[in-house]
Amino acid sequence: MVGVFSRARRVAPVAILVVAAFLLPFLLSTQQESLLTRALIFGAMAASLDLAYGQAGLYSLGHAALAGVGGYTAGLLMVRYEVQSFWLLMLAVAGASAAASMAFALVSLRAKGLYFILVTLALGQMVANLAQQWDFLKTAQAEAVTGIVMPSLGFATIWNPGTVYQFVLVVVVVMLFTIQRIIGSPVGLALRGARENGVRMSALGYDVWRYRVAAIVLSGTLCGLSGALFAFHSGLIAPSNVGVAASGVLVLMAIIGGSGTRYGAFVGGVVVTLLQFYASEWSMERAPMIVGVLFILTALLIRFRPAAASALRGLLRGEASHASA
Amino acid sequence: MQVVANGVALGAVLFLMGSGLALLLGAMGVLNLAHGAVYMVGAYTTWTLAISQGWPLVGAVLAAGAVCAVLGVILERLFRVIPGRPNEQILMSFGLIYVLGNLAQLVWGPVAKSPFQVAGLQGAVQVGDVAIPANRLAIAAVGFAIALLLWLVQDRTRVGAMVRAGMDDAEMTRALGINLDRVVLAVFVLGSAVAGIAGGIGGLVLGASTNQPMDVLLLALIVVVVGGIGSVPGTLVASLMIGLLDAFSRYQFPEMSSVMLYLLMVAVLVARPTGLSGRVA
Amino acid sequence: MPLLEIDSVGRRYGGVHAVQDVSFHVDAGEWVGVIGPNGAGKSTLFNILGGQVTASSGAVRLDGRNVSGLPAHQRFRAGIARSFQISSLFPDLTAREQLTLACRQTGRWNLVRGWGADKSLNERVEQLLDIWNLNRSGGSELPAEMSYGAQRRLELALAVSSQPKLLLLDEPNVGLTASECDDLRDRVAELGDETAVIFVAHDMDMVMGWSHRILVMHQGRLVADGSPEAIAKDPFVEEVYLGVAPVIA
Repeated sequence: MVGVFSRARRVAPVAILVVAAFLLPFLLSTQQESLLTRALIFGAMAASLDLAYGQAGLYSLGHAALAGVGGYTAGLLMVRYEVQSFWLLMLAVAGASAAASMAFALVSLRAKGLYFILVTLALGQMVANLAQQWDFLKTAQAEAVTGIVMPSLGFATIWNPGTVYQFVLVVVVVMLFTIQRIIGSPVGLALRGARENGVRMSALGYDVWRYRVAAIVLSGTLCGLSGALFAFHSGLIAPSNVGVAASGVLVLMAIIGGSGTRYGAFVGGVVVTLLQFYASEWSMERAPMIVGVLFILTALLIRFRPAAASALRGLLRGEASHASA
Repeated sequence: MQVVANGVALGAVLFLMGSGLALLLGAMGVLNLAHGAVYMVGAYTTWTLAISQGWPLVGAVLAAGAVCAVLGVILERLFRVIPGRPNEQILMSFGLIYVLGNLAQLVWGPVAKSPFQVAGLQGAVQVGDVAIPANRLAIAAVGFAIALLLWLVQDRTRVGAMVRAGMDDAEMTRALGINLDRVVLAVFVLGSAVAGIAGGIGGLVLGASTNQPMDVLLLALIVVVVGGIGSVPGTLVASLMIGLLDAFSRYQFPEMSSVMLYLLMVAVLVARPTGLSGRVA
Repeated sequence: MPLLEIDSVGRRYGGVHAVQDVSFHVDAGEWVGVIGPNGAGKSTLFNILGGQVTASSGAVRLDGRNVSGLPAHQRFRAGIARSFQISSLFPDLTAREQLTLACRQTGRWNLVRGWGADKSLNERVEQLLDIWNLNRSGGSELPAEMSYGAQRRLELALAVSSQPKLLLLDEPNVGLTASECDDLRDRVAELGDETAVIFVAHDMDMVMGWSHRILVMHQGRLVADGSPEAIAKDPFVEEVYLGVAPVIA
């Protein structure tokens, strides 16, 4: 019974936040709605990445490519094969990105330590190059798949920026809930165990390699679903959404928010997306400089302000998970 | 023949880049993904001096090497203040790529510089009945001269011995009282200078552009993964393989050329995860 | 049939033989102490048994089944659990989380079904926290926040909490008080009469008190194998290990 109350106490703030977020469109301009939609999508993508990056300690610099597999699958099915159903599209996206993540895991886990990072980076760029060079992955003479629209849900839906935002919010909440379930489960604990001490994990009977593959497949599949949302919302998906730079920004999001914590990566995704937007509002040309400085400052912050960084993480930390401070 | 010359020239540039990256990673455990950005600085510096200011190419390339050596000192400082963990190194590297790339755009403009046209290297050298473009020949010559030099440094000097020791067992080396920090500095400076020179001579065929930090980095890291660490010959063979494969696939299947390189990497990883030279990573 | 058969096992590093031509048997329920000077190959032998290191030659058989080629996690599943000499803990997991991981056999870790909470698992973890006296602040401490003794107890708890057929303890008494050491002995004895124990220790009182049999290693080789009484009297052992003056009267 105590459990029920403490559970309610934990869930209530989240529920209030979600309801408030759902009602936001009544206060916002169209442009703000669209920006927030984008922020939610990147929040979900960063949270998906962090399942591998923060929870399992697999420093992947190629996850934007897995999101890209989702985005391209959704976009191509819609534009080339006229699949309109959201449910069918998401099913296909999940299948395609799970398969791609599995291949990604099997190759990248051959490399150890820092080499794993190099290999993920190269694999990610391979997908971007494929998107750049292969004509099948381009539509209407563009360097991208264009003409993607919001899919149909099977019942009457009027898409406008407000409803798109609300719909994406619902999907993202479901995704985040799934991620929380994984983090809180025995398997989630085993992922953290494999991150902390692989030798000991195998001495305790765990097949560390399998858990690592599982982490990449889970996080890659969720990334793929976020990538599909991105394609629906942006109307196009291009090689630049898939490449190394995009993967780097995903990692930045996860770390800024607090990699390995419960909600950190999601919050980081939202914050960095907003920062990027306002930076490019201020100066399109100098926006990369601002993002670059943000990267460096974050790296230095971890070093010089461990207390501040860990306090921030403490705020975002759920009881079952501990950030590697 | 033209294709082979292109491949060997690219291979020479990649060797210079790959060996720097591999040294830092293998011997020092430093993941400096900004190594390609150093290359870019070398390329632009050479462009300014040789093309814009009319210096002789040799002087311009050496000056680019010097500028990048200084940049290496700054990089070493930045990487030293962050602890040697992947998170911070990734963030620092990406930050440097963005900042240096954007600075280059500010200074040299958004339009890429076309391959450097230098007097004396425009023609072709006739070998038997084959004509080899002089600029490719120059790149290969400089590249392999530096390769030889690097191999001598690693094999014959005190710093080289420390690097080799660090590669074998960093903890043991530290326990022996060898100051690895100074070795790291030396490797950063040397690696950056070589990257600057690579940018300078590479500019003869590749020009200079703000995409280079990423593009060159990716090629270099494929070299590292394919070649394995800790062996100059391994890196050399990998660079030549990749240079030639790139040249041939551009010629044979332009649609898929860059994907070929990655497929080679995947194949090597699956067959020999430690790379061609077979050292345990 | 003996529980464990070690058949001329060896391990080379470059030109150095860390372990060379070691053969012995251990029966179910037998407690075997391994002694020998530093560098005698005891830790390498443990790593070969636990699967952290593969033997260059020879075979390790458990219940007649050759396990030499099995990776560490399959050795564990075959029934070999171990502790580490230098505590090998999870720096960012709480004591509770680490003990939860140690209950792999009782918990739901399956990648298909391992997503839900597990009541019996939680009860078992509570029990372990109590038994090993690790329940200060409800087991929410990280290793860095624990005393050295508590870290050692957690290290041993991780090894002992499964139901192994063969338990390997690498210098288990280090960092424990005498009474904690006795507690440890009781914990291990609770595993049942069938569980065999191989342990490394330098404390001769402990070795004599715990062992049914003692193995002596020197320079990678097994130089003596016998009852505590026989080992104490063995002139060669006195010479290479105990020093010229006998320690045990």
